[in-house]
Amino acid sequence: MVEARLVVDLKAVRQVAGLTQGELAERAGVSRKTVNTIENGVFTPSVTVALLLAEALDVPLDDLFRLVR
Amino acid sequence: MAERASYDVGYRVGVGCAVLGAVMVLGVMVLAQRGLGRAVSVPLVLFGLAIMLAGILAGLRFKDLRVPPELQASMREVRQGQWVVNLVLITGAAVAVSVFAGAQMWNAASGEAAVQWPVLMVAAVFMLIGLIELTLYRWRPLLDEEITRRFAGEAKAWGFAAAVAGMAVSMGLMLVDLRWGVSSLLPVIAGSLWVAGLRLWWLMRRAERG
Repeated sequence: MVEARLVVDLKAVRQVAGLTQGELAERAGVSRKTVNTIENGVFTPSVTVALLLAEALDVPLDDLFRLVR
Repeated sequence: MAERASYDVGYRVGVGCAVLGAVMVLGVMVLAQRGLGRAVSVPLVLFGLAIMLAGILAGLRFKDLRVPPELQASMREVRQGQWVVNLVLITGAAVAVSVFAGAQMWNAASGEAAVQWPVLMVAAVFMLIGLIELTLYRWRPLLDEEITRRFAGEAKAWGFAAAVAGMAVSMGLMLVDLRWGVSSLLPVIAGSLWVAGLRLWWLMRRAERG
């Protein structure tokens, strides 16, 4: 199996959208802690939360998360 | 307006019934020790356990209630902050009370005094409330989200590890002197809960900082 590493671009996309962590959290219906820990790589969210964030930012999911081999 | 007031109903119903059932069971156990017949005490204990189970089932049923979206953002952070601080304070108080209870157990094991049930019960109630706070957060929609599930899981793993290590020490002390082992059991259990509470508080605090 090829080793794959998850890269999270959430912070960059959020900043381009001009949103604070709190504003994104409010839009996605999660806490600011969730956004903060995902951005810092402490927490890998489920597909559901990932899709909620993509929906809140109005971008495709792979703009936020991608695999690097 | 009714919807606003209903977001915590499952938790309140469940905890209320669980505490009522636990108080009944503990009360009957004390009465049974003082001479209440088995024919009376066993059905009452079963009745108390049935109340606890009914409360848990009712809580799970009410879990579907949701927080209105306009309240989520403002209340979620506040509630989660209150939750972890309460947990640390309650489990810390449980440690303090269980030290007194441990002293009572020492005296009882030494044959110097009878077991003081009220002190043990106060310690048990603090530990029960701490355990409820640590485990039944999933009934509270403002607390129940992926990040809290993960953090609470990690905190429980820390608490469990502390309990296993503490119990091993207690068992070792029992081999040396029974009084040490007996008197250390309650502080070990309360201390394990405190470890879990502190770990959860630390994880939440770290998550708040960017």
